[in-house]
Amino acid sequence: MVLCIVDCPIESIAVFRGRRTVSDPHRLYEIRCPVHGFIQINDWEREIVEQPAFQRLRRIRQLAWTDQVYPGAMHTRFEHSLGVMHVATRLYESIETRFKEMLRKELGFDEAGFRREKCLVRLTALLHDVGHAPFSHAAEELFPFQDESLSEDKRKRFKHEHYSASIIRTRLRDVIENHVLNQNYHLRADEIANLLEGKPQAGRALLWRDLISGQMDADRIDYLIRDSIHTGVDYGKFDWRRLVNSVELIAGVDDRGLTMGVSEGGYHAAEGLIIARYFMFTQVYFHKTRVAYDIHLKRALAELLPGGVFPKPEDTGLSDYLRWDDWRVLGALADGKGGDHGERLAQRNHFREVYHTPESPTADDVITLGRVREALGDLLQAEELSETSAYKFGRPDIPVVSDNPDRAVNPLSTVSSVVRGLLPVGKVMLYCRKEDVQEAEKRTQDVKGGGG
Amino acid sequence: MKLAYLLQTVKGVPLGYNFRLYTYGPYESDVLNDLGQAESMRAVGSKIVAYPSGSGYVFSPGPEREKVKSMAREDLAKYENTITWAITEFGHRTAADLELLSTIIYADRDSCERRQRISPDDLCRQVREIKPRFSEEYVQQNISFLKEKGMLLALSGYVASNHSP
Repeated sequence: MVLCIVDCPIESIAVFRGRRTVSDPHRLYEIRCPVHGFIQINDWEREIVEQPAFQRLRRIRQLAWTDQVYPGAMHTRFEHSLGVMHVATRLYESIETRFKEMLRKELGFDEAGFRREKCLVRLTALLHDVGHAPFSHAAEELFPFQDESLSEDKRKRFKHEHYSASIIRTRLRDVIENHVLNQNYHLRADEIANLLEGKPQAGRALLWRDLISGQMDADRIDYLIRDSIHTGVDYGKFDWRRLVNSVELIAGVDDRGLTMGVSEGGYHAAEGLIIARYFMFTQVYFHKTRVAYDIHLKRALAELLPGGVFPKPEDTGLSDYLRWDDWRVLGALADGKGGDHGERLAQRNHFREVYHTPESPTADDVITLGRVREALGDLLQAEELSETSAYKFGRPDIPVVSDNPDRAVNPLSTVSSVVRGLLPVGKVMLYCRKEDVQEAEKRTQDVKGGGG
Repeated sequence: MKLAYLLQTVKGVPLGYNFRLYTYGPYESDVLNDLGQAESMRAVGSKIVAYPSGSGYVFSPGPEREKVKSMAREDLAKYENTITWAITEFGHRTAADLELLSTIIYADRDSCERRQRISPDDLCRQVREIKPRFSEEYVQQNISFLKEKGMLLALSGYVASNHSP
């Protein structure tokens, strides 16, 4: 075993020294999961899970402050990551079993290649969220800009995927590349990071992006069901096993790229997924009170973070970033930090929603929104758009392969009247302080009564 | 989807999308979400059409298009010529060609972001690994087309961090 001392943060050295002597690298372990029963991992994956960067996910809640509305929503990114690996494996196995010949012909896979790709998919799914900020998506607006020299309209912030890729390439490189089981596959940390980021260097492995980040991906399947169970609502449950068994790999027509879809026999399971997304979004992810807590968390975090943003995902910045988790934020709030918004979080004195558009606003609704916004004036404390939510419900569509001999491919929305009837959610919510609610409602009434 | 990618990446129109690469080229679900919003607001309408291999949608201007356009009048005026350029230059291309062209540009910009020059052969090799159905000759033809139009930066020796894919 080689100790890498140069540029090695202290937490990694501590793990290297404590590494177990493995008697059987092929031993399998099982972890209990409220969604999937048992999740199986091998010794290589267990070593990765034991790394401090991955263990940090135990201290990052999946749904931020949603427990303020649904008290059971205390689950973390740790178990979700294991769940995504489990579901991604099922999807991969379904595709490999039923489309082996197509994959051989189109992309040149052989049996060794299939085994290697399965490892790549599992590890990418396992590590897809390793770079999340405290309280998950709530903090994403506090990532720094990638290039501050650009004009404001062209600047882009880093995303948690960038942090995940950086962690994989640095903190997890040794455990990924040097485990004895990897002598069978020679996987490199860069391959996992490239697949996660959707880089051209991922090459033919880009095919698997649909399993990890697509319309019916493992991430979505796991979190819908997991969030449903922990919040106590039934909306997120659907027949995911049927969906996995019905997944289709669709050969691109006229030289278009391979895509993932579902067979006609399984399209109702795909309908279930989309309906689950719609209900979970409107009832949980974009719940007015949950969104209010996201507002306060963002603003409190901006006061806690040096410069109001997280460190960049490079060099010492990444080490600093990995010290941020929910515990650190909660500790700071308990110490009275975080300003007015920290106080509001601690006292459950959140902003109140005083106006919202319909779920799918028309042009006239948008005009009315503008008038209400103007009427509220300085009472308006925040405006939240469903389009900016990480869970937004837009225009999902999944290709459906006909069971007829022609094997025609049709968008799910042309096959399903239920999906066709669903409109994208473009709801906007306006918030004010609790003490201003009465006055705000009066001003809003004036606008709707034609007085604005 | 691919026209939105070209507008943002090649012409710098600040659409705010975050494209990622798939086997079918750069993709961003927010493009479809915004199209859905436009349809919901009746700025566009859609109808189902049949193709030899299945079916899909054709979009057309909707009854509320002028009202919705008026909400973004300034931005639309600012980028009108650029939008016309995209339609003129690429509107007649097949979906497969647009996937290929946008994949070439994505790989080019990725090289820029990594501050690496790339040769036409290396770019071709990288693209063909993602799009194996296209012949080397065809990919090289399209690389030359884009280079002549000034749309490839890494091939032209321009390496900077502010031209992300």
